[in-house]
Amino acid sequence: MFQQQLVNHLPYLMALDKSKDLESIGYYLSEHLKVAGGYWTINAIACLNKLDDISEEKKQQLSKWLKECQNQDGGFGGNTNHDSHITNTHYAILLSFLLNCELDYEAAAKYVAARQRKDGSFEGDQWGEVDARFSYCGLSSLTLLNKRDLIDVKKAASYIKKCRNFDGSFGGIPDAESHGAYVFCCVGTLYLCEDLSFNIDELSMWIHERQTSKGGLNGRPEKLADVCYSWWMYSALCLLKREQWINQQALENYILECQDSDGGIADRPNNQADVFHTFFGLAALSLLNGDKYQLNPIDPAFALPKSILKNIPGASRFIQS
Amino acid sequence: MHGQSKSKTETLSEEEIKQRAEKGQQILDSLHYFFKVRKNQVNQPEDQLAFSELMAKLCPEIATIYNYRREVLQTKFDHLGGLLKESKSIDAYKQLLKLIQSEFMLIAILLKQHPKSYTLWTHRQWMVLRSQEIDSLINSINQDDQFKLIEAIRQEYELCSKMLDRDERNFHVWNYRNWLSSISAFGKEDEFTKKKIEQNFSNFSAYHFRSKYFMKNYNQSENILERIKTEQILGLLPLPFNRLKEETELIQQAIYIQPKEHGVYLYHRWLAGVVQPYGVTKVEKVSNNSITLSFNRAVTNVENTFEIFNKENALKIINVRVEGSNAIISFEEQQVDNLKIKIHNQIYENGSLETTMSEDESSKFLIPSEIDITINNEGFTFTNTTQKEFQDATQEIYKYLDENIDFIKQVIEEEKENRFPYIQLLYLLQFKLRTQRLIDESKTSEIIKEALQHCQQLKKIQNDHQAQFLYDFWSQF
Ligand SMILES: [Zn+2]
Repeated sequence: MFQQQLVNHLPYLMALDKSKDLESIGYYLSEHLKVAGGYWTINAIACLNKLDDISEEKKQQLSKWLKECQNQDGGFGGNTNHDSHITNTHYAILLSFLLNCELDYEAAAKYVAARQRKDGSFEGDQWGEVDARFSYCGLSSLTLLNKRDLIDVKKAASYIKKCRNFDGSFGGIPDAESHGAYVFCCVGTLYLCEDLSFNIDELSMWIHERQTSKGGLNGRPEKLADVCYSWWMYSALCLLKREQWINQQALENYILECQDSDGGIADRPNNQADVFHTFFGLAALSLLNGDKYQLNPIDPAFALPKSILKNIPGASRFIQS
Repeated sequence: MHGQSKSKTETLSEEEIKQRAEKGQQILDSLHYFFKVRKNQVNQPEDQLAFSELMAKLCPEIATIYNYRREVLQTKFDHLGGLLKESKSIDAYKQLLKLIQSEFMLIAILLKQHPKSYTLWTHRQWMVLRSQEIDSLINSINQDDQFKLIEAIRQEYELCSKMLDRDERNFHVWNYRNWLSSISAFGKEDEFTKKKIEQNFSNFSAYHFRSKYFMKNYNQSENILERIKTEQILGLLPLPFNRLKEETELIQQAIYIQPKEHGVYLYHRWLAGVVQPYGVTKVEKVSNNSITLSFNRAVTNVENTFEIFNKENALKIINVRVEGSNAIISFEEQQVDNLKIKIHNQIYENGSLETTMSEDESSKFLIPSEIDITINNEGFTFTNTTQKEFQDATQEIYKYLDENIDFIKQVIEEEKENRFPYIQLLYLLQFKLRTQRLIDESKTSEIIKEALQHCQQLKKIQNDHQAQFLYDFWSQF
């Protein structure tokens, strides 16, 4: 159904935990995504300014569980018992700031820093997969923990620049095709590396062409629009101060259209809502027109509420006014 | 989570919901047991591979299962590899072969259901690397082996082709294919990407990897030095000039067929702009300790480019500073009379290909020249001498750009309300402007005037930030 206003998403988000979702196999198969899912859910609630609606007891319970997800090597798995991975370690750190609980940050920072390779890139875990997502996780985690001195920031930036293509945008590894989600990872990493010396105009031209006639952004030429790209690319435009390169009103309308009248946001209109698109849809709205919807602004570099970031020593200097 | 329509999940019957919950519980119970095994809290199953295969089929996306599996596999590879080395055991050799083949088979089955799983593609890459190691082990022992790694890799290319038949834009497959090319003999990427393009002119992934193929093939080809010697800047093209023109015809066709798509213009722009001669257009300023040179485009990588002589004496350059399209060269203060500046491009002089691999593409097209400056009472005059070969090459490029500009104008005739050809035209005019500056600076105003007219047109179709940006860009001249 076409929505022009913000639906009340809180009941949907609060119920995720009680799992009306238990009916779907997807719920069981996402067992390894619980840390990520927790981050998306709690962050979406924070974006709605409703963190206080989560009971203290619930927060304590979540914090206890999160701590149990940390492994001997300092990294975090996607749930208890799972092997460590840089993405889950990053999500765990983000979630810990949302829940205001302390983890063994020292060990987590060591795990993350050990993922940097000689060429500046980051691997996901000891098995050696390399991807710009992991560079972003590395830079964001270590900035939040104020441990950037553990890695070579310059080399991290130079690796990301190798992921840039002739079309002006970024792929996940050198040679890979440019992709909207990697715009976030690569621009975010470069921003945190304090090295934005690449052709920003060319990237803006490319992002401009990602906006489809329906207002939503697609991730690559000739693909369908999807709500999550609103965040992946609009956040980058914010970091580069190029917000006007897309039609903001049309994008806002598209996100609203993807809402479920019962709560939750889907990738496209009339599709099944999920927590991932709910968070990224809300986060993008908070940047596009946060005041109108009374949303807590989500920071485009860290994807955490600015109100929380303010109090994190390592991050404060990267917050845009 | 992507592309699931809402109606589908709402029509479940009670029975179906119950079945799902049961299947779900089975998954959770199995995982629970798996983690006990993983942590050695229970005895390892007799057949660890069969056990983890079951687990992988149940939960194909859970990385920890593959981590466990890789540890088991690696132990077996080490053990069998050892036997092979020590006793040339035929049995060990056969077991190794069977292990490798069945693992590739399993991953292929799982990939069919989960073609976009990072976890599965990582596992497959790991297996290719292991089979490479095992292959060299077999080779060091037995010359006439039966295991043919080349054959195995060829099969990998076939797997990619099949998967791209099902989803021509799956970037996991394209990346894997590209990675295969980097560790093995080249796949037939020229033919393959062309085939994909001809199947569907809208397949930007194919254009993208085609451009990557040309670049890599160029950097690896043996006759580059010869090409640079005979063709100078044209020799630096990722494909010979006549091939570039053929390729341009292909993409022009695609633009005619799909004039409203972004991808075709991107590839056309890459081809049209892939060589852009770069050089000095003017001496701006001369003093007793510095010279300012103007280039036809933003200056990059010119640190080791200049040699300056005051009369016949070489001057010691203190530093080279860059400001937009100007390079400011400072030298030890002295009375200057007649100066000579030599502009060097290491590629032509040393045939050093280092530079061609650099991140900065534009600087490799630097045109060598000699600038003579005469100081007189009114100030100074200068002459800039370029070898004829370079002038000819620049003219060739100019002509090629003009042909492309004519083509895009034809597209505009048919697509008056379409912003893409206008934007493309503005890019091409920018390339032309740069080239024009090297040929005859006085004729640039016509190009600028024309571009501004197209900007106005574009603003009529699309009154937004991009159009304004392009208008502002051309207004600055
Ligand atoms: Zn999405």
